[in-house]
Amino acid sequence: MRWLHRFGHRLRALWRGGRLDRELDAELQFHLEMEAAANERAGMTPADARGAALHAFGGVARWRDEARDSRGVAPLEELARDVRFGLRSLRKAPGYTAAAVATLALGIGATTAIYGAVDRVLLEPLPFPAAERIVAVRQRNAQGSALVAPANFLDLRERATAFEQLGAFIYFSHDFQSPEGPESIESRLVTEGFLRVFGVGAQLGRVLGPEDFVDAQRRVIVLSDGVWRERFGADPAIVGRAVTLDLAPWTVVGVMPPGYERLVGGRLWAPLVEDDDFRRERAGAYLTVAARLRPGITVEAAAAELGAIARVLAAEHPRTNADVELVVTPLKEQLLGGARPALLVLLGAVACLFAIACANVANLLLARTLRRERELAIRAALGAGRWRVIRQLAVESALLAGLGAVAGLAVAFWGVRLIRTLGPADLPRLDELAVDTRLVGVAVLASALAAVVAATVPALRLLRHDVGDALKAGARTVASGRATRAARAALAGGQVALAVLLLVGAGLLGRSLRALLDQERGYRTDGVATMSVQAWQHYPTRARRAEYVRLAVEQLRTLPGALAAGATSSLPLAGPIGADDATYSREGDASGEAARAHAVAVAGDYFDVLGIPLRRGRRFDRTDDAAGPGVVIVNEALARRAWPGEDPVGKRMRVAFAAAPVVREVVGVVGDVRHEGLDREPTPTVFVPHAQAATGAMIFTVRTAGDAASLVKQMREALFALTPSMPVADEATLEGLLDDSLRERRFQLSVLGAFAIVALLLAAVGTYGVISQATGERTREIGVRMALGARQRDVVALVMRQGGGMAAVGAALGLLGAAAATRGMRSMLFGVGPLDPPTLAAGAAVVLAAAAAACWLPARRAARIDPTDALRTD
Amino acid sequence: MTDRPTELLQGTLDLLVLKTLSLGTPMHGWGISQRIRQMSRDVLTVNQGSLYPALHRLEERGWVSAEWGASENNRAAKFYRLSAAGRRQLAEETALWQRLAGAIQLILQTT
Repeated sequence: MRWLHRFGHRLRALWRGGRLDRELDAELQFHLEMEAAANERAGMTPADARGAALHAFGGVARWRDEARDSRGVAPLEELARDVRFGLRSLRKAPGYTAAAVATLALGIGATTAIYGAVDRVLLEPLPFPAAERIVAVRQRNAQGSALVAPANFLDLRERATAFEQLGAFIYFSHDFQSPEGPESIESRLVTEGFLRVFGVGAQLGRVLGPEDFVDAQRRVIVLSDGVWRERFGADPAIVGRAVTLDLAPWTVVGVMPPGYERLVGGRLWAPLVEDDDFRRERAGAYLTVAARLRPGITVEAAAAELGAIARVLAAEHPRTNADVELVVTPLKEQLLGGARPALLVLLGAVACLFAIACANVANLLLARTLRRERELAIRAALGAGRWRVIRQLAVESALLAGLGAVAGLAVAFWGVRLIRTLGPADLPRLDELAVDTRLVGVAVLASALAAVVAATVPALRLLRHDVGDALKAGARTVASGRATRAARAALAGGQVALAVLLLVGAGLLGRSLRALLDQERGYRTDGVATMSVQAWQHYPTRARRAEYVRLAVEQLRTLPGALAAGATSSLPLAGPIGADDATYSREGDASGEAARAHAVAVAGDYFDVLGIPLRRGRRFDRTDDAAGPGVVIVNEALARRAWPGEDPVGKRMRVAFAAAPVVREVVGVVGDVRHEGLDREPTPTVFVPHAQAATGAMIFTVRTAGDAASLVKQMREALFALTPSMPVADEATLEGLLDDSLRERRFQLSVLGAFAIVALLLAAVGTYGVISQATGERTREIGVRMALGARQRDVVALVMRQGGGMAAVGAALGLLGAAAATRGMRSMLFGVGPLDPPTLAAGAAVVLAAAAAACWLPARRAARIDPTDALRTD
Repeated sequence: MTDRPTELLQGTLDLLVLKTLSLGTPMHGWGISQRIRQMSRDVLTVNQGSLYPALHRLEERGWVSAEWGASENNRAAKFYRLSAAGRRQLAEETALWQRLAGAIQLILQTT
């Protein structure tokens, strides 16, 4: 019960602090008057009586303060006083405050922004119920495809027990006539279970159900929230209405909630009807499969079951499934896993930056503490007590951190915006990144950490140091002890090390980007404009499609400024728009040995547009049409594989490209193209004349000597003129596609580069500060040296040696750290190893040069010291 | 003779104050200091101010209670009185002090 009484007493004291102070004063006053009165009665004069009373009392101020302290409210009052004092002293040193706050803001802001990105992309679970049970199923063979063949999918559906829901989709598009013109909306044809895999219901109407898959003629469709709002005016009565898509009426059965389309993909979902062709297709893999695991089944268990099923299928269908595996990956991993190494590297880099910022602020605080040591010593001697002074320091540090946090949030806000605009476009959650309460919490935590770290070194110094030394007569500035010097040097050296680490990382990324760009691509990207069409609806027969493409290419050739025009069913750097693989066998091969190849239908001067060289034989010409014999052009990679050491021209092969195998004669060989990406090896490819494989999914390409972007509009108009109701999609220039493909790398490089530059600056500033301070303290010593005959040169050398030594140790540590840390970057690099010597050397050299520059000014100042002045200095 | 005051240990002063108040009537701070001076035959005379932190501490711990009243010469003064808990504390501390004093005496007696 006692504690209750004490607590009540403290509360009362807190509440009525002012009044209690007055009471105490009155009490003491009473005492003094009584004592004085007693002294007067004893015979003293009033003045003497008063004097004696005061003397007998002992220091009034002291006892009053102690009496107040023992009231138990002191800590809070003192805290308030400390805060006021701290604010005042920060205001009195604006330069130092600004430097500390700016450094902290940079460190805290960057850390918060990057942490937010990492958290959003990697850590937060997908917004579906029991999202950890959603998995992606992929089919893998020697070539490494990710899509599943329909027959395999159907067998999975029948035989696998691990899944509660299983579904698949194919990429599709629906043409929509908007007031502005025809437009192509990206959509998905889904199997019955697909939408249920995600466990999300429709916001209007329903998702597709079994009844929608029965009749192929019934056109039903589910809209995404975006399409519903943008194209149909968010009509609340849309369910049950018919909308016109692909020139036909489709009945809307439901609208999905907002955000669904971004994660699941597609803006419209229509039923994928399983006809006989679908059920039989085991060679062509074009389904994307997702599933929901049964509760209690682990991913490993599902993987095991799928492995067993794959083996059974391989035995049942050796021709197509001999090397086919079925793998299961958690969906989150599938969508975002590729980003993990890069994000972790960024997180590591920002941690380095944060450490550097804290070290800088610690050094600043330490320098300031040393300057104020006298003042602090006096306060301690007057009864403040060592802990009180440290608490003062902690409060000041916390104030700095608080200001730094506020400024840091501004930096984070800006940084988040930067990440969103510059960041890789295909990281699906990145656009949700915003400065929310959680990030604010992170910022606060970071600033608290910074405050603690920054205050530790000066506090330690205060604890160990005997304050009496500071008051020695004649000492104007306090010389730092060895421990302090070592601490400061360690802090600055640490900054140098971290700067080296970041520079090396950025350098490696930069060299990777350079190596990628320097790679022999196999095609030209300058001045090429492209756009795609899906002509199936508008030109339903092969003959009409072939004619359309031929005519379109003719038209495009006549565009002003066009040097060459062509069309292709598969463009490097662009995603697939239709079937793009085939199997082939050479004439004379046994029928079971079909190999896989990338397959492209081309028309017009496609090879010229992309600058793909012809190595042997001829290009396609007018005679290679549907009536003529089957012809094919292969690339060097396929020639090497199929006919090593021989001339392929004239040889025959059977090619099955989205159809039954056709015998074709090789008429030409073209150069290899890195089709999949700049960092992938060229795949064996067959090129077929469009007239002989008239697909409706084609990309038109035109080369111009001038600016490709301006050609895009003219291309579009020309194609609209030919077919007014058919939309075009994927309008782009090859340069733009190239930039997009490098966007992720450029982003990583920019961020890491920015960090490295900031780290370099901070390290230079830190070095400057330390050397400047150290040199200042050695003024006397330098004066002595000069008096004893040292020249200016020698003094400069002396200072530079000190700075250089510190920086060299830091750089060495940084290189060691880089050697260890860059291993984790291996997957992000191209053409350089993580321990690339020139990059390591360059990183260290740059930082050392910066440190040397930072030491130069103090060195010159030291050299100009007048020995006699120096000897007079304390 | 140096000018340095004889500083009492914090605990000892508390004990003396409790003892003084145990003698019955509520007293104000000056009165307590006078009484201590008397009872100690003027040995403990200086640093009267040290009484007040002690008094406030004792009040905060609940061993004394205080209220404002009128002094002998009709001035406002704060009067302290011993509480029941304070009485118990006094007994404990007295016993402790006597044990301590006895031990020191023993040590000083051996030659």
